[in-house]
Amino acid sequence: MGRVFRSSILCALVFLVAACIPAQLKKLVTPDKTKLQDSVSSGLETTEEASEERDIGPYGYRVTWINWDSGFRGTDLRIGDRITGVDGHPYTREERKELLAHGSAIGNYAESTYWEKHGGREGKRITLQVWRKGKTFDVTGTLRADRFYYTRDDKQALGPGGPPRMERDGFDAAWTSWYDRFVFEASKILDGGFRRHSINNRVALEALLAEKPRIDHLLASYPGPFADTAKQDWQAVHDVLLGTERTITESDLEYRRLGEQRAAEIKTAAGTAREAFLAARKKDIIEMFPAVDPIDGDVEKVKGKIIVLPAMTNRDWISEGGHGYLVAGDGQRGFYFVDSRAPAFVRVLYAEYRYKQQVSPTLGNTYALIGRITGAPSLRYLGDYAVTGLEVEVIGATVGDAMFVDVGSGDEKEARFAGQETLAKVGGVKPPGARATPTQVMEAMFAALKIGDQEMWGSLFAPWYLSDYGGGRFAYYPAWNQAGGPNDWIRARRLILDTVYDVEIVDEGIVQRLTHGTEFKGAPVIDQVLVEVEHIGKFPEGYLPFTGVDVRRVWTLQRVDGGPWRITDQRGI
Amino acid sequence: MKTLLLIIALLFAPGTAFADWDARKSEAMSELEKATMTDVERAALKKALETYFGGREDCFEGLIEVIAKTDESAQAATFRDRAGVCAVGANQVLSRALDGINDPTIGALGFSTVFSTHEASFYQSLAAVSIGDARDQIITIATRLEDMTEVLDGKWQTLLGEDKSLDERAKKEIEEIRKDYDTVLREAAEAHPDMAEFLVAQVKKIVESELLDIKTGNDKIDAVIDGFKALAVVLITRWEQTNTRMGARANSYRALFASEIRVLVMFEDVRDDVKDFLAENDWPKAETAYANAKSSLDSFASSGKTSGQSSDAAELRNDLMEKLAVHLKSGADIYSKFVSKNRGRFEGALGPDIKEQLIEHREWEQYANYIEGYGLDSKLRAWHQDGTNYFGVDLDDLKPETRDRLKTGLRQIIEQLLKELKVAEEAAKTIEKLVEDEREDVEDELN
Repeated sequence: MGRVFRSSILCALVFLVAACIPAQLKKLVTPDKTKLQDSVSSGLETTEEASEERDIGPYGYRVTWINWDSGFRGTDLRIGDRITGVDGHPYTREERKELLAHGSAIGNYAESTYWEKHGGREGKRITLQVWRKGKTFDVTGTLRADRFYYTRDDKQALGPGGPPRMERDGFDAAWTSWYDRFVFEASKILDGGFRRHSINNRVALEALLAEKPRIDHLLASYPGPFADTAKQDWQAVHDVLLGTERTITESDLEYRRLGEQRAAEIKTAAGTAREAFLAARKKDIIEMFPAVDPIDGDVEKVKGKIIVLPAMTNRDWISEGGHGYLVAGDGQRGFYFVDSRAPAFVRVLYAEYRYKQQVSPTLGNTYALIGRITGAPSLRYLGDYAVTGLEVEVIGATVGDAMFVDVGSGDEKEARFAGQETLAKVGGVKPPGARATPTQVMEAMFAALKIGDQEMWGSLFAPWYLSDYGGGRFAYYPAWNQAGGPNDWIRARRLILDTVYDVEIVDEGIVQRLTHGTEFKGAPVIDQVLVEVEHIGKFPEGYLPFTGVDVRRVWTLQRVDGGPWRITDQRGI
Repeated sequence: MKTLLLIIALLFAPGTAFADWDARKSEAMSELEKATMTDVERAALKKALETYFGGREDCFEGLIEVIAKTDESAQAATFRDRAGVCAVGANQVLSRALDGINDPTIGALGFSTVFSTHEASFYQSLAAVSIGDARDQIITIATRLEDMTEVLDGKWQTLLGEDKSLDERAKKEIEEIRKDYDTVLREAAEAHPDMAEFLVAQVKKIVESELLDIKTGNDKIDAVIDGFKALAVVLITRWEQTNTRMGARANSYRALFASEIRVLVMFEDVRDDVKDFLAENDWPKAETAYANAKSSLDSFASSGKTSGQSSDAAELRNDLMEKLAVHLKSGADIYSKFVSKNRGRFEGALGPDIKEQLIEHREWEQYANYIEGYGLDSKLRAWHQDGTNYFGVDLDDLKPETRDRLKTGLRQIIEQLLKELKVAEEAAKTIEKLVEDEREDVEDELN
């Protein structure tokens, strides 16, 4: 049986080459169980495409299905290809009315009438001119007479030897209706299904897997070319619906840890680091109050000593003409001042900035500082009067009760906050340049979404709107609403942190010129391109693509007068 | 998004009457009349234009209000955002007009597109002018100057207070020193003649006795020595006490100078702070921002896509600059006040009056003269000489053995006195040096 199965697959590729049919198969598929009709056809199903001048690529007919017994099975022709001519005769928009009226174009319902006039016959080799993603090439196949198939007991069958069209074999539907539905669904999936239809691939996959027993039964009970091609088609649909498994590492998902989880880890690290920091300097730590009088006191005695200042809030900041200082103390106990522009404090502020980038954008504004008394007297204005105190140089700081920074850590450029070294790097997002490709713009958009850079994300959507009335008539509004609105942002962020584990660009389409700038004086030149992406989800089988109403598979980008590409869709992810 | 739509709806609600900035409106209406389109389209677009230009006036007034705001909050972004909202309003009003028309003609679509593009360009240019930033910068600098004027007044008062307190303590120390000097000098001046007188009388007695050829017994000589010692010890003790106090006062006085220097260090720090402050907030920066705003608005006014736009832009420029000029004038007054209060004090070359207030050079010179005027050095030297020559008492008439014994006994006592006088002499020099030299150090802090 296994040998028969393998032979059947091979023979399905060259079905009409009788020499290839093994002896076992010949026994089952006898020529007298196949009736040839007078009409011939390519065995293709097509639909008209690029009917308008501005549509991408040449006028033609897109292949939506290749019949199991078509003379183009096993050739380079694929579902989704556009046939732009037959045997050197190109299809043109000028003749489209006639073609449509007669349905005589290749793959149309009355294709055979064309061949009647053009010497079509069983086994005749024909060459199709094919356009696929901007490339044109020829594909040669065979015309075949339309056929009726019968079982050995002369019942009408879907293929030589079966299955019988009207039998159910214990399933819900007869073979003919089951196969029609299968072809309909398979055509939808294989003919750019995700681009053209709203399909939830996981639901569709489940439905397909439910059909597996019938495919297995077909192979077992009616082995032959029909069963083999049906299995091939089922597998092709299965592969498309399942998608290609991705490898996603913990590092790739580090962006998800931005926020609460990272914040909790860093807070723990902050507490530990602060304790260790203080313990290591215990001998130099003195009680901060009462503070030594900066003018009359023995300042030398406390110079270089370390004090642990209380957590200071907004109320402890003073501003002298825009220059900020933190103030600790009072008139009774004396004052200490921390200059916010001192290099040590600036290192704390930079650490804060990095924390907000790498951990969480939310950070409280309390400062629990550890400082060294410089010995320098200082005079600061507290709002009503000026007071003297001692200047303090920050050596360590806990900010917002969430982050601790040892000012002396790191290098000349920056001090590291505790736990920073444990964080896997989450790449920042650079704004795409004016010449960035649509793919680069989309990549930047998804990257901004991951790290929560709403400003960058919003800037990648087009501010303009093209109102297209067809026939070269349009109105262009350069100042429209930003497509990337706040609600889209919230929804997209929720998804990228939940069910969407990654988004990959899988195809960048051909640039389509929507307006030429010649329609009227002042008309802009607007180009458009479609970018297809795959959203990766986590499933029992691994990280796999998925589709659904929540996510947008195909994105539209436009550019105006050669400017930067911007996204015109309003969906966030 | 809802807020944006609400603003647009409010701005471009139909039926509002406006009067100014009408060059562009006249021009647009005229262009609409000339454009090829259906009457229905023309009527719809005309209505849309009426609505738009009504809303545009509100937009302009809103932008002017933004620039006129006097509070410290930053308005540059608001200015840009408002200009953006105005542009969206312009586009959407035109779009809605065409929405109601089936199968619009290319003429109507072309008019709508070109008009929308021109208006968007107008607002884009308007959003790019730097008047919002200039307004923020002028108000920020003015506010900071006003704030800093108050801060510096407060600091000056505190510095003067600290300085005065130190000066008073120093003066008190000087006074105490003077009292100590007075007392010891008086006591010494009284004690020395007594000691000399006692010695003269005792020596005379011995000489007279020896003239009678009476042999002077050691016990007699020792009694003279003891008598002299009794007188000297009182003085020596006084000198010891005074010297101890002088040492303490010298230390205390030195500490006051250190404190004084810290006050002056703080004063210099404030001057440095002011330098840094002005590096960021000097008034010429505000004037430059004003000039840049003017320049950018001039460019805006001359870059209109149509003559109507340029004309309205020029009007709008004038209105906006008028509001900005108010901030500039107000800020200039604040700057003048800052300068008048702080030039020579915390800003610029130090004024002689300020320096004098801080170091009181003349007053301290008087103290120095006062201390020197005591002539302590010469008095001590004279007394030292007294001690060395036995207070001027002639011992030559004594028999050699008597003289030798007496001299030996007296020298022991006199050397103790000389030692204390030496200490006093050093202390006096120290205090004089503090008053003169260390004061110079204080003054150097301000040079």
